[in-house]
Amino acid sequence: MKIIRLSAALVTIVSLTTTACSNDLTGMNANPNSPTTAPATSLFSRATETTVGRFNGSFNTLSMTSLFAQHIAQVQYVDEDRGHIRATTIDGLYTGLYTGELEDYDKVRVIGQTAKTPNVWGPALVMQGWIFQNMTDLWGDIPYSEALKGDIGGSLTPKYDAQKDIYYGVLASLTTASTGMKGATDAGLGSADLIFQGDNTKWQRFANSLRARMALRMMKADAAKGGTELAAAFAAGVMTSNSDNAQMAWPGDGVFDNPWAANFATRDDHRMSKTLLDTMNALHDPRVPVYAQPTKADPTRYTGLQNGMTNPYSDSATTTSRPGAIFYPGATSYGTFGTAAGKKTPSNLMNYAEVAFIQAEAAERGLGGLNGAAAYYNAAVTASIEQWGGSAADAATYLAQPGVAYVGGAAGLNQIGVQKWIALFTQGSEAWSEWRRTGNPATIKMGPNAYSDVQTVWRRLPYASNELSVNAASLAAAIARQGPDNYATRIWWDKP
Amino acid sequence: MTNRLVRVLISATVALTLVAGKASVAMAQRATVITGRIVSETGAPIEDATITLAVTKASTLSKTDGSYSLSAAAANTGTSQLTARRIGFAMQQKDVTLSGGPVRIDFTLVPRQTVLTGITVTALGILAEKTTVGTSQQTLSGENLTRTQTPSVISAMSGNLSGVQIDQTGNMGGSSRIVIRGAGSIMGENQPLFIVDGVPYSNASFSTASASGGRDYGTAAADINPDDIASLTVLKGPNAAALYGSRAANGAVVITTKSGTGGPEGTRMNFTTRMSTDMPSVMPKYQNQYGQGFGGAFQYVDGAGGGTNDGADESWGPKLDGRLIDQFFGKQQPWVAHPNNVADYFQSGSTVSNTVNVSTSGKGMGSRFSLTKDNVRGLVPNSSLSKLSGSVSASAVVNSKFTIAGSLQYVQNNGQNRVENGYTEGNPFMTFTWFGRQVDVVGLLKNHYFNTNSPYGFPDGSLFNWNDNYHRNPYWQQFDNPAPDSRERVTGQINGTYVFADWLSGVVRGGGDSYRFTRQEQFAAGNIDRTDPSFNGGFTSNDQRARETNFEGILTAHKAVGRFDLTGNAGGNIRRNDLYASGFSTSGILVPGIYNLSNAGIAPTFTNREVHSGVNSAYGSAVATFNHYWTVEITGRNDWSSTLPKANASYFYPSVNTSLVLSDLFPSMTKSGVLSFLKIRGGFAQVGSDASAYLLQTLYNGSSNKFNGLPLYTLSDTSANAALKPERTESAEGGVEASFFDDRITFDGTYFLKLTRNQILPLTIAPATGFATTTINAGQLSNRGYEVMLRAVPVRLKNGFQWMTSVNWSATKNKVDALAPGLSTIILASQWGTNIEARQGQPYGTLFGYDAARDSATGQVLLVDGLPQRAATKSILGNVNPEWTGGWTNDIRYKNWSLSTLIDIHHGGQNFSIGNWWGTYSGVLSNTLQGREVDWNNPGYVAKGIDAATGKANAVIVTAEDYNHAIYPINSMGVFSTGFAKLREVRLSYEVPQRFAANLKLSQMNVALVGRNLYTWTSFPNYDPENSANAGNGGQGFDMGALPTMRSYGLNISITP
Repeated sequence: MKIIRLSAALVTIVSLTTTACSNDLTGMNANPNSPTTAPATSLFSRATETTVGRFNGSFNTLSMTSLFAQHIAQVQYVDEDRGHIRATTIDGLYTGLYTGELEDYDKVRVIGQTAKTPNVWGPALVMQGWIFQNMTDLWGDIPYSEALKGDIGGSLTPKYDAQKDIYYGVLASLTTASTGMKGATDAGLGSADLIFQGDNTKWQRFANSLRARMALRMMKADAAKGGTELAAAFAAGVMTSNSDNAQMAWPGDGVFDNPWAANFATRDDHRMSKTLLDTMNALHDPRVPVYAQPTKADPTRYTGLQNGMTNPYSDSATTTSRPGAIFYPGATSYGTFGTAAGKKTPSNLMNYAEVAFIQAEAAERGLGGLNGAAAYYNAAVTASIEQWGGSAADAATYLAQPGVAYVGGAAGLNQIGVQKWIALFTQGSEAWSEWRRTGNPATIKMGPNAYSDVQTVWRRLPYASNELSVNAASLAAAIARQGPDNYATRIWWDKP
Repeated sequence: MTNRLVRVLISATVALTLVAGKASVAMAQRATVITGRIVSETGAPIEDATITLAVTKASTLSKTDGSYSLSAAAANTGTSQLTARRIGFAMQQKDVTLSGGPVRIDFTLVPRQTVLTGITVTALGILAEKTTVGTSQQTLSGENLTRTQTPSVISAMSGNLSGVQIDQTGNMGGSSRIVIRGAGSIMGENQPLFIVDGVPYSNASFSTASASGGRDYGTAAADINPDDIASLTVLKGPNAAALYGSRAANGAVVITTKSGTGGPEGTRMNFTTRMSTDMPSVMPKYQNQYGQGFGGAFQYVDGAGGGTNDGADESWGPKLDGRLIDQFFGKQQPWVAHPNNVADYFQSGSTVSNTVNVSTSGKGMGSRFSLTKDNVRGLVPNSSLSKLSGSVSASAVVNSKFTIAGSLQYVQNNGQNRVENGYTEGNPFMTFTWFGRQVDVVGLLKNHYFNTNSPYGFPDGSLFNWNDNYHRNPYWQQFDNPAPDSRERVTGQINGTYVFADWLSGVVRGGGDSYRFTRQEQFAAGNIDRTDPSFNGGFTSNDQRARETNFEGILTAHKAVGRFDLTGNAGGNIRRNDLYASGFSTSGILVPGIYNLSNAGIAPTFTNREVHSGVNSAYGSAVATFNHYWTVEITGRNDWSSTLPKANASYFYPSVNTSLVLSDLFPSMTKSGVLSFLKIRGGFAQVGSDASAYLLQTLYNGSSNKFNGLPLYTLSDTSANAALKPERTESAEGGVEASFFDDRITFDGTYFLKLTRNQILPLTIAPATGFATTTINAGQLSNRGYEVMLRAVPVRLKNGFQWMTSVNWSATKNKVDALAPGLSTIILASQWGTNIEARQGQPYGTLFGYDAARDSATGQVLLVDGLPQRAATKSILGNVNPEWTGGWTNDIRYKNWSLSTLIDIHHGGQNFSIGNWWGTYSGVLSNTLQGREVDWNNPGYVAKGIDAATGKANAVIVTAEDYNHAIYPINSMGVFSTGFAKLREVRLSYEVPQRFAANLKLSQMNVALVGRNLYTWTSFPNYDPENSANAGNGGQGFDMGALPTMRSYGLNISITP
């Protein structure tokens, strides 16, 4: 009897402790480190910091779009400058944008729309629009309408939308955002908005300026929609001064630094492009000492490096100009350039100068109900010079010079193109898109030692290499519609 | 498959029952009655011995008092043989005359344990007669593990076990990977569960090393002190280990530590000292005819491209003929070879280990205490490791029913400046893959660096170094960038056994295993990476605390019913795992050399996380042994895991196995004296495994870094799967154990098949979904193979001379049968375009990368302008699994002397040797002399292959430099077979005769000369084919500047006062 009692007790103890605990087992699997919800403000800050850093980052600009735009040239590790962009750069950009910022902005949008707070969902929609516009301009057709639904039962293989549809979609959502924020009084994002610190008016102007940018860009492919949208954007209110600029300043604390300064801290792989400095030097551009540093060999000279050279370091390292001191962090692993303030230099999303150039071109072409191109042109050049630290007087002197002074007509359009290209320094992607649209400046040519399989300056990016594995059918449909998936295929708005 | 197998097993069971029943039909009336008593040498009665009469095949068992009784029918007359057998004793045979009357025959049995008989450990630590075990396991004694000084108990197992693959490195205190019967899980754990004294023992990997950097901090099983091990049993695969649950899907290593219990009464002490000197076992063959530079030219100005090729970190420069050239240490210096400049960088390492242990046995109690101190000096300058480990164990009989026992172990590891691994500037071996062959390491780099009283060699503050573009002075790296680490570990268990009745007992056991691991890496100002040049250095610090707690209760019933011996076990276990990890880092400090948060110039990044999981289990087993020779065991276990969704959290898995000693069933088999023992066994098992914690919810990740004070959050890139199921491993095996000529030859062979289904896989999905991966259940991995152990005693002389030889051999064929729908491969690791993949239809661990473009007709390399080209697409270049592994041990004993050797063999398998690939590219290895025998471009290089332009054999002459540079995009140029045979251990030991020992007031003294990794036979060029960056699944198959395994010579002295 005692045996049975004792053994029964043991079995009871073991089974009780086992079953009693099995109820808390499931609860144990709640992750104590990471929540299942997050505040819209923190999501917005993080997405903004990440996406601005990504688009202005050294891989995307210094090793890709700024080379395409021939703002920058490579003096060491010259593969990209000779036409071979690393697949990892393209894959990282594509994957990061969707899985990172676009998804996070989408969560902010949902939080804002649920709470009916336009000053929360509005900026999220504008930032998504800015990203999608940048992305489709890089690749052409991309997933859009079915994208970002992986966790809510949406397609795991989102279709690629035609660029035209993406343009229409983004234009509509920018309009929605601009209209929605008009008169909205909710507290919004406040200081978590790293671009406008919660200024609802500036977000509306940014949204409308983006609409104008896109409208002008699609003009060759869809003049009707472009014209209507351009006029509507101007009517709704675009940026009017440098204080409206969509920029993000960096803390410069060693963790969040201007991406160029972070790159230059340990890498000495880049110089100013000869294409850009030759143009600016010929025009005695006051921005030269801001954009560039004098050469080490001759401190009185600002000389650019020819793009697409085989091994320029030993010949040109000391005889060509580094980018301006404002992009350098002070001490680097190869010497001191600039000051620590360079880590704080703001990154640009869209500036008033570009808007004024859009207005100048619209006026010159008779679009959007504008006229008087010269005034817009002068305002644009002045805004750019002032944006980079110059004075109104500098701008006036510059504008008075032959070659800079606006002449109008076809030559005027060329001037607008060249000046816009100069003004878009650091925004390689936009400068390159404008060159693809207008052919300005005509001095952008293939480098002398480009790889033999690269026949022209790139006109788009190939799709992410992983898409063939994870989204093959959608990818195939896009290629069938758009053309071969290579660097030379022209996207929808890019007409010869 | 499962069902069919179960049916086959059931019918086999029925058939065997019939055969056995027939063999044991009771005897007829009017018999000759044979009686007697079976005793041991000491006169103690032996119960349960089997007594068999040859003529009738009748047998019986001896009773508790050793007596037996057996009768033969009157029809049986004349002389027959009577045998007495008992597991653990030598069989004895006596003649018996059947005359119709009573006969008395007594037996005195002599103990004899062979490899096939005796007691062994099975799952849950249950002791069983080997003859009754239906699964495959293999045991090593503590003595096997301490023959030579080894980095860890896992290294000591290498070559000693069949079916067990061990990969190790030369890193001081580095990782060893152990895989039993091939990898089963695509992304999960593939190493076995370690059990020490009944309690799970963590074998967590601390290595951050990979082919691209990091340091190798080893694996946690290295904390087990080999001197404390009484025996180590490997349960090979799920069949043997199913009762241990999920984590035993890869088998289990069950260790029993020494205890004071059971010895003669009194106190015993023992001191052991081991000393060894260590050196690299394999060194690359470098060329010594050309120095730094390109195209035969070099002139130093700033070491960064300012002079003639002075930024070059390759050796395609001028001939080393003594000409005067500007170099980094002065103008117009003689340009001469320094053939040993790499070897001289390494110092000779050493390992000193001292152990003292004391054990006491008294009536009803025993205790043991042991303390070990190890000091290791690494091969790389200024690297060292010290280890202190102590353990205490005790047991006491409280009363006739109640026994308590417990053990406690404390281990402290302190590492200093473990060398960095892989392709990083911090790895000196990587630096030597890119090097100027003329650089005088000892005379210049070392002395000038040390003589300056400052870490910087030049007045401008730059490092005294041969190259400023890419590399650090390898001495500065080791002396000015401290990297301390420490690990403290406490493990303990306590158990109580209560005997309810002579047939029923219960044990309750509680145990814990916890460690704390801290590592820091400090970077001085002047590092090319990892620090902000605006500041004076930086540092990272990581702290990890982990704990596993187990509480277990088992009831055991054991009863003999007639000829059946029945055992049943029922138990439950509660396991909890807790991990706390935190860390901080900054890339900028203010005052040089103060690696403290208060000195941070850049706001530090902090991380912390906790991971908690638990499994509750209930399990049971039933074992029935018939007549000592036929055993059937069934087991079942149900786990409830915290990491699976509630609906799938409970999962059950069974196993069944049987063993039959044919030589007992048919004793006549042994009559001729050739066969002494024959056993067959077979079984089927299933094991379920759970997921990692926290995979069921999509989460937001925060960051300790604030953007101008603003908090940051982002949605995770992994989309959760709330419907995960457990992984399932199924395994079937069959084996034969036999011994011949009175155990002079022993054979143990197994065939096994192991399938793992429903694998928990991270599936890469289209990023446009907003997510990079999700987790799914899919895929199947299979392993099938053979294991053979053959052991012989070819010579055993009366004078005590004995030669024992044994061979372990195993071949495993591994295949990825299926992945997720639409998924054909999973990349486990990737370096320079070559992946290690789980590729459908291929073995796990396929090397997939770029080959050279080849002529489709002949398969020869296609050359354009005399140079090879990369193929358009990647292809399979090999796989990392050896085709077979084996070990050959010899053991010769004569009087006080013994000599033992172990040869460890891996056959087949490839790796991508990045060290060879870059060392060829950079012109430092001796094979790059081809084409520049006369001068840098003379006679030039004519590559073998077909000229793409002419379609004929290539005749275009290129420079050796151009040819070797052209291999860069072609990964296959770095893929080599990793097969090897190593003379792993040699040990010559001498037992000092008693009378000499007595003069030293010692009761026992043993002195041994030992050697480890004395010779390597391999076709693998330049580096050690055996290298394992870490113990993880992707840590195998890439070699990048890994330190070779160490060759050691040593002396062991063991003293018992």
